[in-house]
Formats: sequence, structure tokens, C-alpha cells
Amino acid sequence: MNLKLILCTLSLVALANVALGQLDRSKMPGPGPAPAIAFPDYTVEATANGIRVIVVRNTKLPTVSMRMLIDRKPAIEGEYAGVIDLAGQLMRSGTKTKTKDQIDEEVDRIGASLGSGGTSVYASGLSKYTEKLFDLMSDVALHPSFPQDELDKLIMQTKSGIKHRRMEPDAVVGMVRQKVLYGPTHPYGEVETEESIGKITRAKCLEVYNTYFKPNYAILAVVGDVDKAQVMKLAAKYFGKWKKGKIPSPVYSTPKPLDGTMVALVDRPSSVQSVIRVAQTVDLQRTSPDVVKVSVMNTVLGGGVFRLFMNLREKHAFTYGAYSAMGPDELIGAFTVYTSVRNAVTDSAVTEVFNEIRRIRDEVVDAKELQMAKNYMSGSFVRSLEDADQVAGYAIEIERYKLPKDYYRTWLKRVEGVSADEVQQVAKKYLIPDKMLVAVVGTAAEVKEKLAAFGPVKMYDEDGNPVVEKPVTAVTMKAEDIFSKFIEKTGGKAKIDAMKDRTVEMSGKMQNFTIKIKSVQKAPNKIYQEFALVGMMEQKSAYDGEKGWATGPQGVQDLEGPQLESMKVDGTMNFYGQYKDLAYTAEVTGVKNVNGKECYEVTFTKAAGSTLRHYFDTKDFLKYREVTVLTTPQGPMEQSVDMSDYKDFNGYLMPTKYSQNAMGQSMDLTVDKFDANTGVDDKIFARPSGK
Amino acid sequence: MRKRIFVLLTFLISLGTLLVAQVNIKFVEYNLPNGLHVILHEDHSVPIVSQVMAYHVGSKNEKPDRTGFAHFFEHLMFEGSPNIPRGQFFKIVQNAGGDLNAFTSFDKTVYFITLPSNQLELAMWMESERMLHLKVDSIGIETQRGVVKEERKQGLENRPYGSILEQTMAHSFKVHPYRWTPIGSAQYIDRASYDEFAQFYKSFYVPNNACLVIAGDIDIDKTKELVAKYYGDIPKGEGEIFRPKDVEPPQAAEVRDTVYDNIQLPAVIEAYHMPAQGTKDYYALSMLTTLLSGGESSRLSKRLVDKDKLALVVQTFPLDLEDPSVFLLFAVDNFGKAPNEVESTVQDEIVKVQNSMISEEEFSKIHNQKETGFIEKNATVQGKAMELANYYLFFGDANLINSEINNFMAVTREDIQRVARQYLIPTNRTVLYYLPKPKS
Repeated sequence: MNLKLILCTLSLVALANVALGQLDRSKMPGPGPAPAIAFPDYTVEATANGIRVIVVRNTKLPTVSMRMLIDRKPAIEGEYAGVIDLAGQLMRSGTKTKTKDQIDEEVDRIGASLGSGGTSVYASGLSKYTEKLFDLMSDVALHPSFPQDELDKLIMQTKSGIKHRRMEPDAVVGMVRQKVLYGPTHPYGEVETEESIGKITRAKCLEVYNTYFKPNYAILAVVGDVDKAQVMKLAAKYFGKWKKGKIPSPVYSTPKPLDGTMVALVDRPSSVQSVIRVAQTVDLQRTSPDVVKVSVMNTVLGGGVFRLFMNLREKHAFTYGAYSAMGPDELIGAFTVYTSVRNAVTDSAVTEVFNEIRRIRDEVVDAKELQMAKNYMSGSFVRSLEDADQVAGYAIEIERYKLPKDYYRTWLKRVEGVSADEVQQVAKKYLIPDKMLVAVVGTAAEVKEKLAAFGPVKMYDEDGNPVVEKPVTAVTMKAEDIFSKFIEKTGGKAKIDAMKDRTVEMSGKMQNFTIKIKSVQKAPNKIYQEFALVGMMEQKSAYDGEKGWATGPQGVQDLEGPQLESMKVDGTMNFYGQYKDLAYTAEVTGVKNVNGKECYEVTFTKAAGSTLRHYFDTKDFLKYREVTVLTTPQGPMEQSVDMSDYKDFNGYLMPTKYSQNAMGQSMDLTVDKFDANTGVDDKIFARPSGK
Repeated sequence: MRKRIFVLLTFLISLGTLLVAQVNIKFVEYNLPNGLHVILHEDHSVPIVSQVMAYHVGSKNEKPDRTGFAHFFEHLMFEGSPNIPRGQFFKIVQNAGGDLNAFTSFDKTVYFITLPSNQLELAMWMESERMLHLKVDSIGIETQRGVVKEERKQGLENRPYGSILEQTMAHSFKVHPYRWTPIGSAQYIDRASYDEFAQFYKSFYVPNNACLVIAGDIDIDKTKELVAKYYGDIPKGEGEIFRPKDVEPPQAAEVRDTVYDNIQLPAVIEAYHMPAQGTKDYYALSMLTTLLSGGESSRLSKRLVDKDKLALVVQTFPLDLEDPSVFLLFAVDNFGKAPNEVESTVQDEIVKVQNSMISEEEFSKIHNQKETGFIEKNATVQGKAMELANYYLFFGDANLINSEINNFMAVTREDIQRVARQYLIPTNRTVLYYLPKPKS
């Protein structure tokens, strides 16, 4: 850096050039008389069938927003994890009298919005359409039809979303945190999976609806340019016929704190930052007098631009931001620190997080800093009152958790009353730095070793499940041993050596096209393949032991480079007996999880050219995945093929299902036919004449 | 006779569109002698006040080898002044119960503070301090250099699809500085020097290049006095303020590329060149985006998400910028769906708009959607302050906060069809496919 810069501190504009007049700028102006803060008025009144209706009148804009939610305890969904949310979303997609198209059209025609989620329905728009919004909302809430085609679509979209979630480091770290802190049998530890979503049926959605949608558990909050009389009239008109009922109360076990601080690491090799959460559960009920003290304590530690932000960002430049959150909950609350830092300082950042957690436990907070936290909380609270929806949120909270009616009216007074000693007391009582979870999503190769300083490091996958990972040194199997076992399992050496040729036919679907593939091989290394997108295109390719060719739009072309290489590999009748002839070396490089199976990873490398990785189950020694890493101008490119459902064909054990993933496309293929030793003619491998 | 009825009918319809639910936001505005434009708006519903200072400088004022500079400078604006020591700026506002932040876009850099209304004077002192005599030191520069690089990683490099805007602009623009984005490149963030910051501050952070808006629980006369007290003595900028004159030449042929990213689901991005915000065709294109992707009944959502199930989400929007920019389309494929199929289906819908005029009914639907959106924008005092500053700086008319809706309502069905034909053509666009990158 520029030396001048380091040596001196300069004003960007010389003071002398500025006429300052009478204003003494060195004095920071003090506040004027404190304005009166009035918590906005709202009403709560129940309808005849027990709906608690909250009305917050706000006439600033000619708009209205309303939401209805079912006041229920969190549920354990088990094998159908995600069903309550999915059933909720589906309500918006069709009613007894309207299709989704009709609902969409009616909503957009008045420029409004309408949505539904896990046991909730919401709508907003201009207040002149208030009655129409009631009409639409009650139709969705009381007469959902759960159409099968919309359910199918939602399942497909949700599965796509789950696949996408694996790439979002923030979502991944959130899942790890949830699963480790709460465990799989607690509602907060449950995460929907492609499998659980796939099990959801229309009947299951109806069951959710029939279980939970009871007016005597419903809260309806209406906010905006409306008055109470009008809202109560509309509520009676549109929700009056809804019949009361009883919702079962679930029972839970309370998650225990961790035995000691541990690190849960998800390897995301391409990461340029580590996404970090430091977290623990907190046993704190909303009605506890500690809530307001904890809130002040958390503000000092990780609110706004307080300690964590000042330390990790402004002092160390590790991150763009660092914060903490801590709150009560009817089941079990949580404390969580959030930050994302560059790979190299991952461990230093975690160290600083723990330093701050220890400091707030060990030292009494300074009076000035405490006052700053209270002022900040007070300001945030006042600003939040501008948003009428937020005011409705406070009112709903009071209703749901049976808080005193003046809970938020007196909130600021209670904040002001918290002492420095009380801040330290609750920090000591609730924060347990030697029993915290450090969850990290990042480049394991760069961060794993250093994270061991905080506790045992356990690896998790991108779905938040523990990874069974054995270090290579612990694997006693050699690559050749694995190959022998595989050959033995799939027919035995004698039988495989005796195979002179084989023909496999497969078919499948990609989007709306039918795919047909035929592959003919002849020992030792000849191959011919036909690939057809039925009705669209057909391609033939082959390798005759010396040269490779393929048909294409420009006629027949010679294969070279990676394509030729891959034909040579595919051409081997028994790759595990022949890989050395192709100048590959094989090595066991680890134990990995492949679709839930623990597999040996064998990596084949070659001085120049592609790398291959094959995965063999550690118990049955069958192969479940092949990965080819190609070198392309955009960098390395992976093609992965999964194989499964092995079946016996005249003494040869062959996979009958293949699933290929490349370039974001998946292709599932089923083996239709397998023949061996039919006497294949060499002619099929010869390059057709012409260009 | 029939003709007269028709005329009468159209008159009634146009009267109808003028009678959209409107909220009249009152304000006063004036210039200080140093050129600072001031707008004041009273709203006593909650005892808070928002102050917005918007500077007419953004990433388009940067040099090509200093991309990210304006945003980096925005971070330095929190460093302090001779009267505000380093590290205190945030703390003072927080201690007063306030909230503050800033953002940098292609065209502007905006600073905002919201405080309890009895702290109005504090907000003015702080904002005027850093306009008058910002002070930064090497520690501050190096710290923020690190912070900005982490911001880039968090928002762009480590996030799926995070690079879309950067890639789209780089492909769409060859000449105009919109070809880079406000976050800039880490390489140039490393090179920015103290002298360059001093020069940038002197050129752009002057009262005659800014608009100050104060909105909320205020008294207009008292506020005027305070404005004069804190901002009146700040000297006017002397040099000419640099505005890029580059004109992006018309695109001659379609640009097409593939980007590999850490994603599971491919995405398709299309960017069509379009005129600057505030022009007649801009309003027509904006109405067209509502037709295509506003709400679940919109044409692209209905077709790609509901009917053909090709996409998880599809969005179109004009990038609202001072110079001619782009009309963007963004679609995330459902799993297993090919980007080319998504693209051809989008194209099919675009061709429909080009070939047949939209119905009166659909037209009235998008009117209503625009109307609601326009009204909902002004829910908070900070939101209103931002809008006022933006309308003044880029349209020269703060009252558009009340009247811009009329420009949307003046768009005809014919206009929508015409702009679809004129702008949404292959030679005028960039198409990007985002595809999953293999793990290495």
C-alpha cells in the first residue's frame, strides 16, 4: 500500500477552505423532547363460531391486508414430512366451484394477491375490494378441492426446490443446525425430503385439512382502511357457517443440549466463503420474565451493529456482517449466531464469536453500551409500529400465547428496566459456550483441520444428514480386491472371460421424447452404439479397436480426444481386467455415500486424459455409480451414471436401471434386453464409407 | 350516431383510468443557494423521521479499470469526519434509536437514516458532516476493502445464480458503462487508492449533485431552518460533474452464451435492449412485463409454470435506469426440463403478443395490477422519501410520486403490441443459459 496513506490521516477536503458560519459542528446535537409513543389501537372480538378477529385500522393508504391462521401446536409429520405446508399451499389451487385458473384470473383482475400456506390463508389488495377478498379467502379456506393435477405439479415443484436447496449454502447450514439441535423426532428437526414429499397423496392433504381447519382455533387479522363493524359483518357472512371442532394436541420430548461443543461440517468444495452458524437450544417460554432481559442481552451481543458486527466486520474485515438471534418458543427456543466469512479466516471468526459469547457471560456490560442497546431496541420498536401488519403480528402473538393484553404497550418500559447485572445473569444462565454447535458449510479441504480446535468435527451431507466417511488409511481393501469381488458377484471370472460378445438394449424418457439405446460389444475391445430420440434423431458410433467414428449432421466423423477415450473405456469387455492396457492406474480414494449406500470410491487416473471414479458397495460389492471427469474449455465437467436393480441374465448379474445426470438433465433408462455370445459380426464396427 | 357513442365511451373509459385510487402525497421543495435540492414531507402517523440523501453518482460514473469504486466509496462514507471519530457513525445513530444504511446502483448512491422524530437534528448533523468533510484513514480503507470483497463473495460468488446481473450486463453492453455492475471486480477494488477517493469525493459528493428528502413527523418551517443551518454552508462543487456520454450502438445480432454455476436447476435469461426510464416506450414495456409475468394469471406464469410445468418461476421486468437499459426475463427450469424448451415456449408467448392485440379485459386487469402496485409503494415514510428523491433526480419532477401512474395508464393496447414487435426481437437480445457446473 501507499506509504503516504499509512502515515497520515487526512481530511478529504481541507478544513480551511470551508466557511463554517456560526454553527459549532464539534458539538453533537442532543435530542428534542421525547415524542409520545402510542401503541396503535386494535380490537379483538370473536365470531359466533369462535374465530378471533383482530382489526387494526390504518387509513393512510386505501389498502387492506388480511391473514387467517390456525392456532395449533407444531406437529410431527414423520414419513410425510412437509405435508402440512404442501396441503396448505394446495388450498389456493382449486375450490369446489373454481379451478386454479379461475382463482388466478379473479385475483389479478382486481390487482390483488391471494395465498395459502401451512394452515394459513392470506390476501391483500385495495380496500374497495375488501368484500371480494373475503369471498376469495373464505372459498379457499372453507371449500378447497385439492385437485390431483395441482398436487402432482406442486410435488414436482417442491422436489425441484429441494434439489435447488442443496446448492444454497444458507439453506444447507440451516438444515444441519435444525437436525443436529433438535433431532429427527422433534417437529423442529424434521425436514421434508424428496422421498417424504413423494409419499404425499390427496387423501393425506384432506386429512391435514380436516384435522386442523376449525374456526374455534382460527385467528383472522385484518389490517388497513377498514372498520371493525364492516369486518365483523363480513367475517360472519363469509365464515359464519364454518363448523367448530377439536384439534388433537401432540406430545413431544424436549431435545437435550449437546454433550459438548461440536463442529458439523458440510463439504462444498467450490465455496469461496464459509457459512457459519454457532447455535444451541434455549429453554425459554414466552411468558418468562427473562424474555425481555434476554432480548437486551442478545442486542448487545449480536443486534444491529453491536459486538459481533463490530468485531468480525469493522475490526477484522472477516465478513460483510455478523449477527445473533435469541428468542423464546412454546416448545424450545434457540440462540444462533449468523455469519459468512472467507475460507482462510473460518477458524479465527469462530474464535472471535466464542470470545464475544464468553465476554458477555464473564463481564458486566458497560452502562453506556447497555443504554445504547436499549435506545436501539426502543427505536426499532417505534419504527415497527409504522407497519400495520407488524402491529397485527404483535396482536396475534398476544392472542396465541396468552400474553398479558398490555404486553407490547409496556414493552419499552420493561426494556428500560433491565439492569447490567440482569444482562450478565441471563447470559450465564442460558448461553453455554462449551455445549454449542458450530455448523459450517464450506471448502472442507481448507477449513476442516483448523475447525477441530473447537471440538470433534463430524461431516454432514447437503441434506443435513451425517456422512459415513472413512479415511482412506482405514480402508484395507485394495482396488484389485474390490474388482475381484465385483467380478465374482456378477458372474465369476471364468464366465466373464468366456464372454465373446454382448448386446444390451435400453429405453427411457427424456421430457416428452422416447429414447432408445442399443450397445453391442465384442471382446476384447470393440463397441457399437445406437442412440435414438425416437422421431427426432438417431446417432451411431463405434470403436473397432483402433479407430472411433460417429454419425452426425455433417456425415460420419472420426472421433478424437475425450470422446474417443470414452469409447475405448466403454469398449472393454471387462474394464477391470483391461484398464492397465489403457494406461490407467486405480486407487481406492475413500468411502462415500451413493444414494444411501456406503460405497468404496475407486479412482482411475491417467497421465493425460480423463479421470474416472467407480463406486462399489462396501457390503455387496456391486457397482452403483460411475463418474467421468472430462476436460472442457469451461473447466472440468462431470458426467455421472447411477446403476441399480441388478438382475440375473443367464448367470450374468446386470443392472437393469440406469440414471444419467449431465448438464442439469436427467435421463432414466431401463434395460429391455440382454444377450451374450450371439456371434456378432465384425462388420458392425467398421466405419461406413463417405464423409 | 354510433360513432358519437363510441367517442363518449372512450371518454368515460379514460375518465375511469384517471379516477384510479390516488393518495395525494403533499410536499414542499426548494433549492439551497449551494444547489442542494430539498424536499420535505409531513406525516405524523408515527413519531419517526426519515432522511434520505441521494447523490447522482453510481457505477456508471466509474472508470473501466476501477469498477466497484462508487460502492466502495459508499462504505467509506461511514468512516467519520473531524467531529465523528472512526467507528462511531453507526453507534451514534444506534444510540439515538435509529437505523441507517446506504446502497449504490448503476445511477445513484443513496444514504438513509430513520430516527425517532426528536432526533431529526442529529440526522442532519451526521449527514452534513460527511458531505462537508468526510475523513478516512488507511485503516478504514483497508478494512472496508476487505468487507466489500466479502460482500461480493456473499452476494455473488457463493450464491447460486448470484452472477446473473453481472453476466447479463457484460453480455448486453459493449460500450456503455452499464457493462459492469455496482459490486465491480475484486481486482479493481484492490487497486483503488486514497488519491482517487479524494478526487471522487470532490467531484461527486457536492450539494449540487444531490437531493435531500426529509419525511415524517416534522414541522416544515422548523425543518427548513435546520436544513439551512446544517447544509447551507456546504460549498457548491466547482468542476463539471462527469456524466458518461457513451451511447450503446444498436445490437446487430443475437448474443448467446452459457454460464456454468453451482446450481441444480438450469435457468434461462433473456435481455432485450430498451429505452431509458420515463420514456413513452418504457411505460409500454413496463405494462408488457405485467401482462407477461405479473400475478399467477399472467401469460408466462400460466403457460410455463402451471400448464407446461417447464419452469419453477418466470419473471420479466425492465431495469429502471437513467440511460437506455434492458428488459429482463428470468426463468428457472423445473428439474429435468431443458433450457431450450423453456426458451422456445417463452418465445411462443412473445410471438402471441406480437401477433394479436390483447383483449380489453386483460388490459383492464393489468391496469388494476399496476394501480395496486403503485399505491402499495408508499406505505412507509422512508419509502416515500426514497421515491421523492428518485423522481426528482432522474425525472426532474418529484410530483411523479402522485402522477406517474397516469403515464402507465396512458399506454394503449396498440402501444403494448407495438413495443413487443419493436423491442422483443432476437437480434436485439442476449440469451444466457445457466447450467450446473460439475463438482471438481
